[in-house]
Amino acid sequence: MSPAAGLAEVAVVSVRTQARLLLLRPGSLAPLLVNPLYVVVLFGVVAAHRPSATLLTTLGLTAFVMAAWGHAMFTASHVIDEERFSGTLEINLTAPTGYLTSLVVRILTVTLAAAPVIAEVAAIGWLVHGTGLVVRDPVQFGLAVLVCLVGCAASALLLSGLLLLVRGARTLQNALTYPFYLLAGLVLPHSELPEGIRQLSDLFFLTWAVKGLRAAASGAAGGWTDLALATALAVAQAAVGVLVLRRVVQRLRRGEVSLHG
Amino acid sequence: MAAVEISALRRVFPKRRGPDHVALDDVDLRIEEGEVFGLLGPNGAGKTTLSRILSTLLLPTSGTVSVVGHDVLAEPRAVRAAVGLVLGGERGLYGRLSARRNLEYWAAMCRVPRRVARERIDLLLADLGLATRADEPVETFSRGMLQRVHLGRALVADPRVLILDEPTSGMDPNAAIGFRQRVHDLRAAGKTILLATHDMAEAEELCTRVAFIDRGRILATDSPARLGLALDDVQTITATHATPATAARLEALAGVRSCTVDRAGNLVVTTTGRDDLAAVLAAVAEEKVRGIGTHGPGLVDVYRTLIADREFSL
Repeated sequence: MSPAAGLAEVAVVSVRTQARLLLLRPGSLAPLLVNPLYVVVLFGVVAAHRPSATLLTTLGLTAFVMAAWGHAMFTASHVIDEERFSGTLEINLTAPTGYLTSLVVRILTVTLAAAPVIAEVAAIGWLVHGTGLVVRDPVQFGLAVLVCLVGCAASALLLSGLLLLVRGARTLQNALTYPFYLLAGLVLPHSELPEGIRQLSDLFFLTWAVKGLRAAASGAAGGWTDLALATALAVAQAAVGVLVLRRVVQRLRRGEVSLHG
Repeated sequence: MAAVEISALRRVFPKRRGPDHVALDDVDLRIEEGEVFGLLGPNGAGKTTLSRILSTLLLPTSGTVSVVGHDVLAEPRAVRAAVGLVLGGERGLYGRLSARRNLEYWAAMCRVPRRVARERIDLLLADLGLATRADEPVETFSRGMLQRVHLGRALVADPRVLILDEPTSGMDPNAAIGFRQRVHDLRAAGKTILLATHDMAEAEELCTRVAFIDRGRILATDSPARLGLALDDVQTITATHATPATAARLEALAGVRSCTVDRAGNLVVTTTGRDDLAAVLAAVAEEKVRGIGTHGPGLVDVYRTLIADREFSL
């Protein structure tokens, strides 16, 4: 088997294995079930003000991005830590090659499981207000959703390495939601953020992914640029995540990090 | 070519406080192809550390280690391709997945072509007696069945060297006997096997050679029979229905090295010196005990001679 074919086989099996593990443990898909409740609340808050379709779409996209980010932070990033807990990490590290590929693919698989949330948001908008998400450029919008999810997976990849390195990191995970929603301009407009925070926000892929999503939905100009920036930052983040994981694996093999949870 | 060659191996775990922990200290070992080699010692002796270094899970601090001619530091991928690791216990498998799915995943991780993997997995599941439950989640399996899945997983890539770390710990006797039979079969198939265990009977039955390890150092290496010969004058007398008073009386006799009675009344007397054996046997016979038997030195005796009893101290 050629190296490329071998890696492709590892990727295919990793997707299949992770998808099975997800389906066999429905609790890990909780965001898909909980998110509609958030959307109902958000839509309910603005219902009395006869919101425009644009405002409803913005709210719906906010709910989707929050669900995707939360799913990445609380479920996808745990893939490797759960491997350590179940003892499969030890075994996987004895595989001739491809464990990092497998991990990347599996984290991506878990993160992509949040994709149906966008359909849920649209369906609830339709049921509550008689209008779903209004999308002017479906192609750009589809790409923006993909970039957003892939970027969230890159963040999960980075976090998963840190979860192995830092004892008790799970207790800090709650801090990874609202501060990042603020940073990404989900809760407050990006332009309203204080100067220093706004500069930090500009380095965060999610800021540009959110802008790209909104631009694709509204048809505003600059959406492709936003998406290009989001993609570049997500790729950079993924590269750092892979480097961190490599370092973590090296430290595991040196015995500096525990193989057991 | 040796299957495993270890020279001056040292593995130190630095500690934040206090002195570093030396898990392996100046270990030299050579295991020939096709051997079943036992690594015997108490908990914390260094068996698992050595198994992990051989499977590249841990890096050595110093020294050289090669598996089928590949250095673990310079060619870790080649070493991983040559080694199958079987850990004892219930961890190390995807519990919610079936035995077949676990094996399929591992086959892909080891780059076994899909068609070859499918055929091999079917054969392994049948051979390991798992065919009828191959598609059930392994979390529903007994300990013995889990261990067979572990073995199947290790064998799916057809490795030249198998490392079995406490493979029968926690198994019921029938499951352990079945597992040992698999080891016999694998040896007949030409696999090199490193068996880390503290079950002396298992090592005696399976191993062509054994090494005793304690506190990270190899204390002795040879075949079980030759190691026993070194203790030729040690004889063990066993009996049932003994009392602590029996043990106290026997302990005072010349030639008795140790004498214990457990709560069930099982007596074990270890004697040294052939001259005193007859007198000790006669004294045992005079006690109101039953089922008297004697046997020559085995690995348990070698173990007790080489490795000091630390009881519950570390």
